[in-house]
Amino acid sequence: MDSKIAVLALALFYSTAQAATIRVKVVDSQGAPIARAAVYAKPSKPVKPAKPIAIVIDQIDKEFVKHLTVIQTGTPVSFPNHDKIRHHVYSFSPAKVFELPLYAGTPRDPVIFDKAGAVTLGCNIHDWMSAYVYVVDSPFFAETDQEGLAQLEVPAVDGYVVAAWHPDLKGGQPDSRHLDAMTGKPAELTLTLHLKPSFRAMRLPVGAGLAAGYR
Amino acid sequence: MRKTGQTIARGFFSLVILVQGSAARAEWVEWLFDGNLSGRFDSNINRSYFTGQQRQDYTGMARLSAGRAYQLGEYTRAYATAEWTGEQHVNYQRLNQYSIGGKALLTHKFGLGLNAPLLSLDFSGAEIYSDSRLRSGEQITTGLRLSVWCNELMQSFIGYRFDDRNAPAANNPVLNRPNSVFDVEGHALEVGSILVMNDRLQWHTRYSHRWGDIVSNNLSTSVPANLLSKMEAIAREDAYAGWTYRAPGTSHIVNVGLSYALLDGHAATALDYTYQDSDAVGMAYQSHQVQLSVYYSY
Repeated sequence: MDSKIAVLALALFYSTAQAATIRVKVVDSQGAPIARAAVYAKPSKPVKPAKPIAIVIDQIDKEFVKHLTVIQTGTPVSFPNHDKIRHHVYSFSPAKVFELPLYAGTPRDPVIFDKAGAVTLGCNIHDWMSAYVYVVDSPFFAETDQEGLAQLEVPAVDGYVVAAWHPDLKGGQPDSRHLDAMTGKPAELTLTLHLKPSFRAMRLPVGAGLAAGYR
Repeated sequence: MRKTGQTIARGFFSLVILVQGSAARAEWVEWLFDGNLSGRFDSNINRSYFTGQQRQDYTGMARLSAGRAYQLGEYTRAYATAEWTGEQHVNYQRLNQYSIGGKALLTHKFGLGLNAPLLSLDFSGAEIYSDSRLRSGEQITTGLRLSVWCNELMQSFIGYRFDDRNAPAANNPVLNRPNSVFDVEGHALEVGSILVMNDRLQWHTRYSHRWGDIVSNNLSTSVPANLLSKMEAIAREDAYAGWTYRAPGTSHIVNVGLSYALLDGHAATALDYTYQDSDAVGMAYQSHQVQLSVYYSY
């Protein structure tokens, strides 16, 4: 499910409190906007946990459909395989180590992402398949658009730590900023991420680039 | 086909039968349809020792293959494909040929993840139909390769290859010597690596050391007596001029190239350069090849 819908649902959940808006722009070290970065706001004081909404990460034509998915801790994620072949999804990331051995269709049980952090997904049959799940300890999160912009609707209470993360982040640590107590007036801030070139095994036809039998 | 080739072919076909037995119980995985078109320049198509006798040629090549892949287990796959190849030469049309054959490939990944080593064993056999009578015949190649992604950017591999070609139709003898020039057998060790440059561009490099039979052409009409005794076979050439011979030797082959992914990875274009330096009967043969290719996989 689109994370924006999740944010809207959570915003309704917190509708008893006055809503406030946090507008975040994420840029790289040259000031260029970064699309598809994870942005989240973590309240200074714990909030009543919202029930996570189940998420789907599809596999079509030997690719994960979504490169980055941002979710709240405890979210169940299912991995439907829409191809006519089997996939073997796995993660070695400390935030979630799991394996879905060769399967077709949709596995019966979703995977629960119960720890915050970055999770790198792969397929053991198709090495070029990769995707990321970023798990945050907060119900307030979004992804940046092509302009590097994201908007978070949060209760106007207390302060927040606002952070951004991207799969190509150098060092892996998100850039963050503390916001004082929200007053109901939109807050705007810019977060800068230092990205590194990050590529991995690419999909190539058989025979191209010495990739004999690799598909 | 000589004894070594026959032994390897028998061994491999036994393996294929075993694989097919397992494949019968394996879940059908997918159909395979692959093809490529290439254009190649060769600076020394006739592999002549003498610079003045070296001939250049441009070749258009095509390959089509279709087959099936089987998942035999969590980490093991088998591929079986039928293959057609064709070659058209610009300067030496007698080299035009096509071949029909098949290929079997068995892969096993030692564990889970990108960095798990992958072992692959391949075997291909084909019947070559050449406009040159000397060159028509059968060919088998087989090889073993171990490859591993050292990190997310670089894959390295090491392998062994064996090739065996038989040209029974050869019938242009010189001085009553054996004329089966293209009864060629060779072994090669290869190492190489693939480097990911960005999300579409990939650099690859490979070095092969081959030992076995070398075939070379000489455009002159006379055959030096001192060389004749070192040649395993010699025949009048029907594609160029002069005579062509087979002799034991070694080759160093270096290949570098770039591949650029297209159509979400279903297609790619590649530019390759290959340098080959062979040494046989005390003479060295160099050639340079530049090849531009377009690949497609369904």
